[in-house]
Amino acid sequence: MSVAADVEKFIVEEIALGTRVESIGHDEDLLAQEVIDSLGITELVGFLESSYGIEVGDDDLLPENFRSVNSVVAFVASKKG
Amino acid sequence: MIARLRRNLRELGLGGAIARLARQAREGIVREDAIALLKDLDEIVAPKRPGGLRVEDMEKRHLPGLSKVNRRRGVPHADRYFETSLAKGFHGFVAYDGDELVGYYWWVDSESDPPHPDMWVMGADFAIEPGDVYGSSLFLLEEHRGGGAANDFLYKIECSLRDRGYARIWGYVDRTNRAARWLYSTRGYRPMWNIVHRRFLFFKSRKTAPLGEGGAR
Repeated sequence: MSVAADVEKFIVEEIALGTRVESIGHDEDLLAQEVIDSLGITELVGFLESSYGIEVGDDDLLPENFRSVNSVVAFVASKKG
Repeated sequence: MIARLRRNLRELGLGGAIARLARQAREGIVREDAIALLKDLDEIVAPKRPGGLRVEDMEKRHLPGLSKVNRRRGVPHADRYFETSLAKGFHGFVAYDGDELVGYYWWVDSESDPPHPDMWVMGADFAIEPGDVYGSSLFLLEEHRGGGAANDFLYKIECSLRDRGYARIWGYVDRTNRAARWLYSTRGYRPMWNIVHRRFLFFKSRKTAPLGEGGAR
């Protein structure tokens, strides 16, 4: 699967559990939809670090890096260099 | 040093003061990195998912419920601190889930005398202006987090402070507390400057630096 599909699957199955979110458009605003709460962001960061071997710094937790699935994909790509 | 010892005894009692001293001695020199935050209360966004928490002004009648929370957190010595903070005129909110007290938040305004002790961390030049508040120690019991509960609690706090005529909230967040940083950033709290504070026993220091600078002046 692509990074985008992986991230979408993780968000739908692990973070958005119980919110009736079944799919996420890759440009959909996750913040406006409140899909990722303060606990969800720590889970997502853990997933990204373990899945893609990147290190997410405390200062990387900016809304712009996690606003959409595509933002997360771009963030992962920038971290992998 | 003597004044701080006296204050600890007054606020924590003998047992609490000794426990704090022992804990601080065990910890050695503790360095904490934080970020000062500012939120304008004319920009309050309501959560999309309506939360179930009921928020009330903290009063003396809440102390037994707060004591239960402190025990579940493993910080029973905080009871005395809560009692003396209320006696000093510090304000607070408590959050209820049904009939259970599950969280709290402290705040003061420019008329607070004495100033809230946590404000020391913000820097030597920091002072609350009329119309501003300084908020601290947002807490929800772990089993009541998730599903936007903290967002709901903070939203209700912001609305209550705005309705009292306040314009801005100051505070700080630990740099490594990712959940808290995410909560504040998504609720529109702007990072203002960096803070590094260190403490060992009765000694403490803090330095501030503009954002983007690695160190702190």
